[in-house]
Amino acid sequence: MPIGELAIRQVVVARRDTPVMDAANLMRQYHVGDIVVTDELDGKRLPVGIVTDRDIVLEVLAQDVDATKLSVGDIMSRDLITVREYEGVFQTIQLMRAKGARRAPVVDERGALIGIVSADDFVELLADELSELSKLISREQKREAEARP
Amino acid sequence: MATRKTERRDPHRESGRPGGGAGRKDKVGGSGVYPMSGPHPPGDAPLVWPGQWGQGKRGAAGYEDHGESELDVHRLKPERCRDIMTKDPVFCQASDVAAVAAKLMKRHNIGALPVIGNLRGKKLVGIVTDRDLAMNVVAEARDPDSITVDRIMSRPVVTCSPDDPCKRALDLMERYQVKRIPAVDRLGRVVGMISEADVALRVGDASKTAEVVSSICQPSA
Repeated sequence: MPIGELAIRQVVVARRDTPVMDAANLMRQYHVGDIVVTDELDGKRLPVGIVTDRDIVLEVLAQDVDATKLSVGDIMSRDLITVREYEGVFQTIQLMRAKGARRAPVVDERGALIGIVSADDFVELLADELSELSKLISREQKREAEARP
Repeated sequence: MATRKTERRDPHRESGRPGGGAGRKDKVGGSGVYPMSGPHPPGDAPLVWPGQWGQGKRGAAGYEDHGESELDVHRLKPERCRDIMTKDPVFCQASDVAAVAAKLMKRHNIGALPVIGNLRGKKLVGIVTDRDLAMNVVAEARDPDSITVDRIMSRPVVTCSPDDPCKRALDLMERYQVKRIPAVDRLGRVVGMISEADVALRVGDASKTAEVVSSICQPSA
């Protein structure tokens, strides 16, 4: 399955110079835990980093830094991995695992942001599949038991 | 067989020491060990049955009971919350300021802190997560050095007992859409913390875990 099918298309974005406090407000408003930081180039939104609610707490609150004086560009994670929308699900999982990333923005062939995937989405997908599989197995066992008592 | 330096004559054991003992004082039989054949004599002289001879209080097994084998089958498969929980979790007090809670989260690399009322009782009064801090302190432009955890934390808290079966923790997480549950003792004191990951990794029921995980992942307001 191409990762583009799994990716969430509505992504909350912010520019590098967005103050951290505004980013926190965006997260609250849209009920998300992360924001993709993007640069605008030729009308394309290019992902350059990700900021999570946890980042805000650990980099700002825990360090006694003034949240109004800091921007998301200052605290975002630098080594960002992005995934092409036609990449497969399992390849994506492997890539994210290799880099230790829980989330990855999904881009089109021009590199422009089109969505985001997270480990939770995979867990949900695989959990659904596992649930279906176990139902299938138990149904088969039942049928077997009825056919050959 | 256990041997003792001083062996007291056990009045309940007719045979006494091995090889026979003092015997019975009544007139039932000569050796005092076996009942003599023939009609029982009148009176309530106790008879010693063959099954009791030489065993008496030790019981039919004839050897000392050493208790069950050391292999505790219950530990092979985690069944209770106490088997999978993180014991003695990092916590904060309701009176701590947000900056303190944030530093604890950073230092111990955790996302949620059970909140206790005071250090003496360690009674659970709430729970605070990294998201709570971000949403209620940073987004609201509150001073992290003056706002206290009790104004940010969530309560009442969904909890379990360490003696509950693991399944209960799963069911609670599913019902209340939470990823972590503190375990409290009967007095309401925090004794452990169970996360979704703990249950998923250590409980063997894959299909139930899959069901819960997918339901916890439902988007919520």
